[in-house]
Amino acid sequence: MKKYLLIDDDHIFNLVHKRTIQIIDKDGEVIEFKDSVMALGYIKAQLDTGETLPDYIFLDISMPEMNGFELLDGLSDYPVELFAHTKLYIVTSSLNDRDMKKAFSYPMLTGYYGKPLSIEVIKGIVENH
Amino acid sequence: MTTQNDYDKLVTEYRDLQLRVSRFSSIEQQLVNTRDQLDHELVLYKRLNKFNKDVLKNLSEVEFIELVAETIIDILEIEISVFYIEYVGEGKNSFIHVEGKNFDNSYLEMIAKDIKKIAVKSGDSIPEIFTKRIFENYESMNFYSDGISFHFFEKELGYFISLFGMVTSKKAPLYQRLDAKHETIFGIFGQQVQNLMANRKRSEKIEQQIQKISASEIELKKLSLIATKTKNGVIISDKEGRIEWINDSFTKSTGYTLAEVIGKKPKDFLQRKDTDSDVNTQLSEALSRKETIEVKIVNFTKEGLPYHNLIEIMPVFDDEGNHINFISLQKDITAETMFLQERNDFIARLGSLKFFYESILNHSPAKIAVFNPDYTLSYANEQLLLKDTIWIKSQGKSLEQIAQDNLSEKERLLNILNAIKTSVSENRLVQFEEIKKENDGNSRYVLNNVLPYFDDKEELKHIIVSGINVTDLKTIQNDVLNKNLELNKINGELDTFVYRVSHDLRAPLLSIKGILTLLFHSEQFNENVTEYLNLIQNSVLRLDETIQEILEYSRNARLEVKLETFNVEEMVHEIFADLKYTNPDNVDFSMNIQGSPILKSDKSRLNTVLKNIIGNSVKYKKSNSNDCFVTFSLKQLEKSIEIKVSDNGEGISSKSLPKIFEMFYRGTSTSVGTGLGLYITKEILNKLNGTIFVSSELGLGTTITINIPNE
Repeated sequence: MKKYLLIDDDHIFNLVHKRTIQIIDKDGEVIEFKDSVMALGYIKAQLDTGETLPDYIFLDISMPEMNGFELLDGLSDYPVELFAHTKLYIVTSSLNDRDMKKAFSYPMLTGYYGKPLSIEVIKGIVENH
Repeated sequence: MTTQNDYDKLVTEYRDLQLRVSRFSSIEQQLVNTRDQLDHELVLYKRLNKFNKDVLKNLSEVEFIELVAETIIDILEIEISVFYIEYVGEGKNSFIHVEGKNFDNSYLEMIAKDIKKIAVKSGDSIPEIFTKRIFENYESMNFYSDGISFHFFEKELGYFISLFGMVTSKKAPLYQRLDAKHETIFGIFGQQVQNLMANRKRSEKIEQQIQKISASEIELKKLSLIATKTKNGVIISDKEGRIEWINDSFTKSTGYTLAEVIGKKPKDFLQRKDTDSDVNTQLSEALSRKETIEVKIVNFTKEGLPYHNLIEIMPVFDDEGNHINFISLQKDITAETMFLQERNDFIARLGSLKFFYESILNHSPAKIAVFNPDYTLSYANEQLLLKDTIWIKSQGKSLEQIAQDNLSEKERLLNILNAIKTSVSENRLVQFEEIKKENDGNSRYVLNNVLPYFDDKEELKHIIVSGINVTDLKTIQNDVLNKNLELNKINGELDTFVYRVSHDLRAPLLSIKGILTLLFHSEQFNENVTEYLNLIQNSVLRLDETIQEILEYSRNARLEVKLETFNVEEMVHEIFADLKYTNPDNVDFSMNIQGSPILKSDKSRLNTVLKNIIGNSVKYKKSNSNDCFVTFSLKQLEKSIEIKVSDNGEGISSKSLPKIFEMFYRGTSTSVGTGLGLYITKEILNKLNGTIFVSSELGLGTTITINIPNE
């Protein structure tokens, strides 16, 4: 059973993405966070207690208090190997090239998608795993 | 008695014998004397012989005279000898030499006078003996008791010579009286001297003649060489002025040969009506007075061409002072005259040019200084002297010197020197700014241009330093810089704002889009609801497209062109892939790339352009057609690339064609576009210095040709 982590302050996207994932992977476990700070806390706790991280993380950039990049910065102290089995995607409605460039400067990043994630995209991600 | 007789006889005999003996001894004595006398004469003749030998040596005249005087003493065995020579007609001084005693000059003169008096009474070329009685008649000679003379006068050779041998009364007892024997030997000697002297004088004359002849020969040769070789015309004419001879140069410059002009007067054929009559008069007056004259005159060649002539005419006289010839030298000074005239014109022109340029320099608002290659000040214009007083007395001084003289300005002057040195060593324009604090506390900015001037032989001629007051410009420049900084800041803020807005506008749209996808996927609705949902989706997509295009427009307008190297093939592949994904209907995408797909341009902008154009081809494909195609082709030209996007879509009506690049223009009411795509495309191409050309036919398809520089 695969584990999906959605981090987006817009709960509609979380809902749409969750439903879309469930269309592809009916048994998948989807965890949602509206609050990026709490999401970071969750990931850190997983890492600190030695729990396995979710298989997929879908992270929004533009969020209040802590944006997606700041969240990734919060994980920079952890060795990259700990994320080896986790696929991290940025999902954003930004059209700014600089966001894309910055995103790919993080070594743990797997991909960058525009919102909303379509069935085809999810299918591609899951089936290529 | 016999005895007595015998004795007497014997005595007589003895006396007789005694007488005979004494007679014999007297004869013997006479013989001895005669022998001695002959021996003595032999000695004298030997001395004469020695003279004959000695005189053959190469002697000067004085040496000869001394030898003669010495020999007189030797052969006559007397006390004093005199040699006197006097020349006739040649103006040569007479000469007297006395051997045996030293006399002062005044006494020698007296002797010379008396000798002349004696000689007049004496015979020519005959020795003559003088006695005390005769000498007493002559003041300078009255203390001589004995003497002998020999005079001869060579009329043909022009001299008189008198030889004397003398004994003073005081010393007479020590000397033999002069007699016939002396007369004989002195006669022979005198004859010899006479002949020797004549030979000497003859050969002397011949030698002089030879020298004279050879000297004049050389002179003649030189003269004729000069006359023949000189570039100047030479005319030799007789005393009437009729030509006897002309040189080659005269023929060359005038065209007349000797045959044509011999016997003529030069003025009869060299001159024309308009020859300066004053000069002519001057010329003929000088000639009649037989004076040398030099005039400038315009003459005419055989062909009638005028030429400027500098003529010098000299009369020639022979040794007796008779006028025999005229020699005329003619120098063609046409070129010099022309040159002089041109030179004067040139100087005048130069003067006015100088005035012209100086007035330009002096009216220039720039401060201009010109330096020599040794960095000395050559020129400073009025503006510079007015504004910068240190230059006023600095002409000819080197910059180092000027800096030494103006220590307070030293740094500024050395800066100029350094700029000059750099400009010279690198042969280029050097610019530097000077800041001067004014008395009012404001700063004045001067922009100095330093330009070395090398002539076509690459030799440094001078360095021009011109300074322009750029204080106002500087103020504006600073303002602009500040404004630009501000603008950049605002631009940055605006950029963030636009992204922010577009993001925030899109987020809800995209969530609607997501929900719609879920709706379509999961639920079954009746036809009406499906249709409404489709309409909602179309509107959402169009709104998103509009937002994206406004963003792109804004970015194109604000952002600087950023050049990078990238692969167009990859870019077009991506665009094709995106379009295939969103338009699953069968459209045939194809690509044709000639040359390298790598180019240098603004990647983001070109991406927008291609997305728009290729997107349009898909957007306006023929509905209900199964063989739609879009072809992308690229061709590398010399400095640009040509991109063509062709389709077989709807095409554009000729009515719409001129308007398609207008903002918000939409060709048809059924158009799904925003009316911004091609407008933005055109705007971007303007920014990239590119061009776009559309050819289209309604119902057949469209080809869009783009040309952008490949940096």
